[in-house]
Amino acid sequence: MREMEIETETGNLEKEERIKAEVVGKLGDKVEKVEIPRERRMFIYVKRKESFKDVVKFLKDWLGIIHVSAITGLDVGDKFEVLYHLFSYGKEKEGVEVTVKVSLPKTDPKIDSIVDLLPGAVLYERENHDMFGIVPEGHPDLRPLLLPDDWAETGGHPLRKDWVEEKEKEKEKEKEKEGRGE
Amino acid sequence: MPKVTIPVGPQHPALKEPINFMVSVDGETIVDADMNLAYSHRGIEKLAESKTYLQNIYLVERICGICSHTHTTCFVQGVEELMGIEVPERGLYIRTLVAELERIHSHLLWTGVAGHEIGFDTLFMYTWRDRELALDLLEMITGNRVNYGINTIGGVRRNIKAGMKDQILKHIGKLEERVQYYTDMATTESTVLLRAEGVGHLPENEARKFCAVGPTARASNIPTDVRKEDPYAAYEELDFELITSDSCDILGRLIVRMQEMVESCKMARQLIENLPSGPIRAPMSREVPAGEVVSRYEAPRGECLYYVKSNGTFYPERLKVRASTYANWPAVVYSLKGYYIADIPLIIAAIDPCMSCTSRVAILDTKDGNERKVLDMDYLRTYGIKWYKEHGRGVRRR
Amino acid sequence: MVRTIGSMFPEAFRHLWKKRATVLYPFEKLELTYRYRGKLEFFDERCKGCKVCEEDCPSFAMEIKDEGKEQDGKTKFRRIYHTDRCLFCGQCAESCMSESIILTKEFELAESDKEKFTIESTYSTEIIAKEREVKEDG
Repeated sequence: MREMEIETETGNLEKEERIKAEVVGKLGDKVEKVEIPRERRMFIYVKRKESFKDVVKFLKDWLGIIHVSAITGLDVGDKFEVLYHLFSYGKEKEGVEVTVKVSLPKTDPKIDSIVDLLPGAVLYERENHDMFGIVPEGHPDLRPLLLPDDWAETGGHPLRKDWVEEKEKEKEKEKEKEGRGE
Repeated sequence: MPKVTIPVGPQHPALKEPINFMVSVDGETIVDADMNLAYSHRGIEKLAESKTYLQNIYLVERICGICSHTHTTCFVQGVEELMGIEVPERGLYIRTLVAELERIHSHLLWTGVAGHEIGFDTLFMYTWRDRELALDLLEMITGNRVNYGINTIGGVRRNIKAGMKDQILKHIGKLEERVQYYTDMATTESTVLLRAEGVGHLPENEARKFCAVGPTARASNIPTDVRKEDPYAAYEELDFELITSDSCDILGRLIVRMQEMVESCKMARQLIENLPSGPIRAPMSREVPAGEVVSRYEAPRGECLYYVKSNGTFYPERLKVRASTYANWPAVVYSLKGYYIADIPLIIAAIDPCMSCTSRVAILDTKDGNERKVLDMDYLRTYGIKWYKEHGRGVRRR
Repeated sequence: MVRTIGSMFPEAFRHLWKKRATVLYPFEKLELTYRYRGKLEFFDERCKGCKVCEEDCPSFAMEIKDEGKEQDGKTKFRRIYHTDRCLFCGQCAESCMSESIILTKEFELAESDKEKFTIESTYSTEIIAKEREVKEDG
């Protein structure tokens, strides 16, 4: 039974190939490359962040991909990557998880918000704003979501790789205070 | 008329978990709602980057107590895909069986909570008693009632022995009977219908717009289920139905969950009867090759998504968790509007919220004078000891 | 749809003569399954000093410390087990290649004295390298 499945897994990529052909054909130079790691999974690498919204708009209007599963922020050394996990509803075994990947420079981590296209992204964009400082431009409400209200000014963005816990500093301060008290 | 804003929560708006809703009302009717969910933020995504894959299984298991199997399976699935491990079929079947039992116990728990919210505590008591049947089975198979610890990279850790099959079938038979009884009862009992029918309306287009998942989406007539759309584990070989309801209200969500339990019982029976023989786990190495993977899983509450990026070492580069409750919040805020204040707990409870699933990532913070402080465990401990040294006796004497 | 009220009355009424579903805990105790994961027990004489348990523990509950060689060529180890940190996941018992850790059914581990959470023992053993094997079922 397992063997049979493996066969179908490698053989049946019709739907994914069709989306790939559409995306490459219609968007052309906006897309760097399209990867299909396995059945029902796709990675679309967007070339420039300015054209990213057009890609999402195309996916929405032409392919009916309207479900935002999540938005992942990623700190890869000198730049950020933002991954939009979109999902197309389908019939049985037909849904395709499309991940749109965009790179942002760390010096200017701004990206167009997709809330006007896909309102379901509202919380995920706020979360990334909290955790990475990635600013979704045009987002209606950028108050801290998961972090405390007064966090952003001083605390930094905890999921960045260069963020360090203030634990050590606090411990030292505490020791100093205790020392003085005694 | 001036706008009146009422804070609901963070203490117990529906379940005993912290979330805060600022509800603007016009008389008794809700006109707007806003939420704040940063009360149980634990920094798990950050912590996961400093733990090995094996250790992370037990970490993600503790994201949520009710759907702990969800998180481990979703994580382990992703890692297995990265490593290119083929899990033995028996392992997948046991994994799926535990998942379905977990779904039954989670839905029964929810039914009880919903019963409690509408003031029908008899339902609460009986569903929670019957939930014990599912929990007993889980305890027998895995060793624990919650946080089963059954998943590992490459398969499962505990086997199902020959003698257990009868016990499982017996309990599933009982559960099936009870679930059927609750389905019939809940759809005819006036106490339930008066509170649930037509409340928390979430039309199909709005549910799609706000990307609702799981039973909430299915009750709004969206046929979405990861088990069908994107089969994982042993779901491809199972015969079950995707339950939807077109009533779009809380009664719909109740019916969807009830019938899902019936389907789950059916699936558990199939799994036990067709349990293949063979090993339960494949050998694994501790190093994961570089790569990235998106893993999806249908939790009792809806779609759960993990993104794992590895860099070829023992530790993951990034672990992203998007649990199902988080995806449903915008839909809740929408469906609150236009209903009465008294309906708030039920509408919130209707998505089966789990705050610990919602906010998983960072640090406790408080105001201490003008200075902002990050409080860690050590600090809190020393602070506590100090406080009790100073005040302890006084408090006791009073 | 037929609407009724009080449809759970018969159900509730029938339970008047049934045994109660709960147990009176400290006096009565439910039987635990043999797979229950409780407090760890150690068989020091079997330990090979590979420290896999320490490496795999997700909550840093286990510490194995090297205390240097003894005269007869064996290595002395000190093991510190923190019951307060332990998650009772059983990964150490599973990873252990010499089966020197088992999980007992003991679950009543509350203490008022913090020091009792730390269990220490010293032992000496020969270090033997052995291939890790996959074990099944506890």
